[in-house]
Amino acid sequence: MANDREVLREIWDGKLPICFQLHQEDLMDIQQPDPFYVMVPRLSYFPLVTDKMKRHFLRYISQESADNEMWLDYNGQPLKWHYPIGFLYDLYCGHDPQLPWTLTVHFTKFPENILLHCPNKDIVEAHYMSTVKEADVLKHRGQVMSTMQKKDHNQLWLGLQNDKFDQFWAINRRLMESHGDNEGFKYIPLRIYSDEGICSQRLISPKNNDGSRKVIQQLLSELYPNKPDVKLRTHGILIPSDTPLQWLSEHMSYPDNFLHICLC
Amino acid sequence: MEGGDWRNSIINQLQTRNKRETSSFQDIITFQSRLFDNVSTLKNENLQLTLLNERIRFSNTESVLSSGGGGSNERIQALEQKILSQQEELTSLHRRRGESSQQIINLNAKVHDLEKSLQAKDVTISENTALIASLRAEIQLYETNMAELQVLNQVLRDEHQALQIAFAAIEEKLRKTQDENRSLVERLIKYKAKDADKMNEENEHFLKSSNPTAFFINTFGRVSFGKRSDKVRKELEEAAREGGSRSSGSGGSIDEKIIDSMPYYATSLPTKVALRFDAHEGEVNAVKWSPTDRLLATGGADRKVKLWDVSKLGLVENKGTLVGSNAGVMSVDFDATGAYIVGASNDFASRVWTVGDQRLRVSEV
Repeated sequence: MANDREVLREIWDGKLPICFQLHQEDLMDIQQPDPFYVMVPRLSYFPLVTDKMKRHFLRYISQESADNEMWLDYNGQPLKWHYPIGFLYDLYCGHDPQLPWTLTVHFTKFPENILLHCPNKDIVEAHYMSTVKEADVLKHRGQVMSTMQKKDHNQLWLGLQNDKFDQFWAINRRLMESHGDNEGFKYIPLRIYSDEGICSQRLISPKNNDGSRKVIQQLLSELYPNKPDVKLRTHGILIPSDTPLQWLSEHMSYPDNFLHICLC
Repeated sequence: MEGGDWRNSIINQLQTRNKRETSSFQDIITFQSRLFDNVSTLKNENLQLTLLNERIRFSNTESVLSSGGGGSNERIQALEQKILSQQEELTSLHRRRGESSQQIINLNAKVHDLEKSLQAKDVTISENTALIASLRAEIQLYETNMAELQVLNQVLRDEHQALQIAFAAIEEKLRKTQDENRSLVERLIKYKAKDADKMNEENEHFLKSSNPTAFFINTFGRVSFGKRSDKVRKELEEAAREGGSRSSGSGGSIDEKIIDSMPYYATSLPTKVALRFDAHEGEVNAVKWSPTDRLLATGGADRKVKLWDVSKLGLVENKGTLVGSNAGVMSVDFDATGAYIVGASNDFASRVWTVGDQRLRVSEV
């Protein structure tokens, strides 16, 4: 049960200052546009927070590229919109934190090979919902999601979109409950990313073979027996090695119910 | 509630993270975004104000005279400016006046010229009218002349006509007199001929009664004529006599004999058609009377031989049609008893029918 409200609240309140700058190639105005600063929630997605920024920069670009899809990069690395913002920051800036986070805005030369197209917010919602479903299948064999109604799904999504903690957790609470007598999820929805952004996802049980709770230390020795000093970062912090996996999944999952963890 | 070092560590890390990332920037960013919004609204406002200012200045230039509410200095300056501009206007007006007076002089000269030409034209017009009047009088004169001539012409024509009528009447009269003359001449000739005949008669009588030699010389021609007429008369009488002997039938030549052997027939040409009927479709090639009965057989191009009863006067009755020929019948004939008919046709065959039962008896190619 995700009942450590203090941790949940701290995670939820995490925000990042971001500075958007228009790429020079797209600039069509004599006047240099001002950079656009904004605070965005770490748990949100870029398409949900960039409307105002886009309006600001539309004035400075040419008419024909105004209809093109906008995309972002950090240090020449295109940012995938379907990952949470906070995770992207941890992935690219985790070692060398520099705030505010300076991103470049592009309107042309969409990197078709790297990014998915995102024409509107419905696509984001669909992707989010499918990820939640995948996590639920791993945790409860999909039973919780399938018993929810459409309005519950909507509430989950709107809570995230509008940054409403109570509205979101009223529904997400049910996803974090563990069923059955053996107390705990069947598997932990966990994705571990290396520095290059390569993702690895494995079936990981929250318990050891003898039935005791599995902690991070045990997980690491299981996954990376050759690297004794590896550390894990999520939500901008390093996870203590004696944290139980079950608790981690319940409290420190992103809104899509996955634990996105960076290796460092 | 679970607890432990790891939880405290997590909470602490999260708190320091939030302090570092969020709270230190929260105010600045909020302030920046507020400033940003302010700048944009101010920009808009500025634009609107510039527009408004522009509009006001525009309306001011229009209403600068009516306003007059500024300081007296300004007013004096404005008035001075006005005077200056009006002086400029005045000089320009003077210049214009000079130009216009020059124009007026030019125009007056032009008017003079025009008047002169007008007068000249008036003179020519009056001359022309006089000319026209004289010409009109002339025309009048000629017209009256012409009328008189026409009247004269008419009179002459009438006279001519009357004369022609008179001439025709006289000609008619001439023709009548000529006719009369001719008839009178004819009568005269007739009487003269009678006189001559009478004279001749008298002469003849005189010759016959008296000595012929006495008038030999005078009447030689007449005598010879008399001899000849006598001779002709004699010959005629002889001929008449000969003809009579011939009709009595006692001639000696061969011709006379042939003529004698032939009996006399009263020959006459048929003038009226007693009966007329259409026997065949197409040409009728052959006709034959029956030797015994009052029966007629005809053969035609319609390959038929037909028998007709013509015993009743003015009425014909078909007694039968003999068929069997394959081409037009060209000739028919009865035998002596009138019981058989033979027909020859164009199909290179002759056929024999009996009259009684009208059957084909023999067909011979």
